[in-house]
Amino acid sequence: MNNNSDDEYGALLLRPLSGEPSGPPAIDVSKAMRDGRRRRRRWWAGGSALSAVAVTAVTGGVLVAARPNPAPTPLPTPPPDPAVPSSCTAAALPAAKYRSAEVDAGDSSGRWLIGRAEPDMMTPSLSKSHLVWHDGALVEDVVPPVTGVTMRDINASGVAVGLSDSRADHPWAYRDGRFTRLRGGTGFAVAINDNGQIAGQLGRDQHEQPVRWPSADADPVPLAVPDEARAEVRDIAPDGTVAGTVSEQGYLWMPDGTRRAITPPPVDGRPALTFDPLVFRYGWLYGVVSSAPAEGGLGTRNIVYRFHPGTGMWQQLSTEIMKTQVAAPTGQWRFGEEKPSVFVGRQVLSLPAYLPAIDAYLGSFVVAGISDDAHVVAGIAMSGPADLTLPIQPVIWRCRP
Amino acid sequence: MDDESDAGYLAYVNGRVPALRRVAFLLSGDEHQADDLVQETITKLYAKWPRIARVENVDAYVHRMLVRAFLDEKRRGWWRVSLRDVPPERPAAEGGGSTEEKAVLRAALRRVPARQQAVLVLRFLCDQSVADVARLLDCSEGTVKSQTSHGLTALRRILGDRVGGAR
Repeated sequence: MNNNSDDEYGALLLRPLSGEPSGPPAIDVSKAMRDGRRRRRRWWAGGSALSAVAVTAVTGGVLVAARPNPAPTPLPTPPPDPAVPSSCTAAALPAAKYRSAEVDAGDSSGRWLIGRAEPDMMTPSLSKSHLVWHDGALVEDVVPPVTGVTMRDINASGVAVGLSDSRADHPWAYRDGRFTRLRGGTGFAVAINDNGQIAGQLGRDQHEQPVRWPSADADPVPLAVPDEARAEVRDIAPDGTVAGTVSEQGYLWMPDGTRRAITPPPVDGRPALTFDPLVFRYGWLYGVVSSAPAEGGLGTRNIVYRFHPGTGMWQQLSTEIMKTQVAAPTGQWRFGEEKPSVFVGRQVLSLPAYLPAIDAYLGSFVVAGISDDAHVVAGIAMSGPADLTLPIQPVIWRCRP
Repeated sequence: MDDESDAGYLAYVNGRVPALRRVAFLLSGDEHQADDLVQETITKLYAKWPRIARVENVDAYVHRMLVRAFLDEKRRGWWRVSLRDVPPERPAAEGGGSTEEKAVLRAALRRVPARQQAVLVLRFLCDQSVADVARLLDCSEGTVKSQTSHGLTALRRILGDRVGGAR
């Protein structure tokens, strides 16, 4: 069907749905202002947001440069990217007796995966079984001691971290078939690296403090944040660097205790507004740069970039956000896509569909993990339009160089 | 925040709520959800107002926020489908089709992937051009065209000959 007949058919088909809402609006502008004020960047109160992008961060009395990512000498080199595999095959992961199961995270080696059984079942008051796969085989089927547990990340030793229930319930770790609560009270864990260092947030209701646990049984160490600024943790790098946001601006907490705002690169010669980090992968921090519209243009532009903290180098990856997946531990950007794909270095690896039990046309895939060598990718196949009569299937893609 | 900016925000929002509600209603097909989407959009708008107020085309920016809120809600909503109470339906005041026809069509539309839903609604119910939809969804015009085609194919498959089958 060509575009013109598409247009005529679409207009004709959808016409019956035109109309206006009939009831009185249930919109509370005062509440929007109250809630919006809380979300506002602290420094907006003072003046230009654009100039605030280059704000200077203070760390324990030491001024830490928020210069536009100075290149230290000698110049470190970004690590080589893995080769993009030439082909991948998709297969269902075993899910024992469960009709549905999802993969929530995969590790850097591609050997460990963790997920939940029956995430779509209407049993919010029950603990969902957690499934652990090693080399594609189901090795654990464990019910956590509390309800609503979701694991966010898993490392190459098979240690996973996550949270129970809402954002501000409790941070949890999983190891060898056992769940344990991380120290520090309410909050949640976001990510764990292969050295066992964990990043997360402690506190309640949008006022959580970013923290780093040196290990799953250690006390949390707070990560400093400028006064009253809202901070979020996104991921932890192999060297312990924690990436997140402070007042919606990309931010790094370094292993040596220093910290700095990440100044986004100019886009088309104009200063960018924000960098929103998502995940560390291949030695880079992947995220989204938002830039002001070009002269006479519409709205802001969002572009996928990656940032190399050691050199301050930026690389633009895609002008289409949420098309290629990144498997971020926070779950941000976990979107269903008919044609699944994931970043391998700067390239895009297209993955084949796995659809034996799902309507071939309406299938939707989420990538939850990719190994550092890009040989193993894991995720979920589900019904794109969330038809709950169709099962969710855990999927593994095995790729060859 | 200074009062002048708050006043500017209030003036803007009060003038735009009806239009935003209409787009949100067409996207979601549900008044409660539409109000939730608008509430989230104007909350984000307030949070970013000092910056956005300087943007030349605020309307385009805000509509993009609304569409993104819709897509975010669809993504997040996946797991919540079974957990959330279904609000009572409020009939729309006016529209082109009979109640039953609309219900069938809306149910079919909900089965189409979220981005395709957004493309179909924005193009055929909100009368946006391919270029405008591409900007709203941060994608190329080619993607909008292919999503239109896929969305219509999906709708046709779901509906069979029941609605709009005679072409």
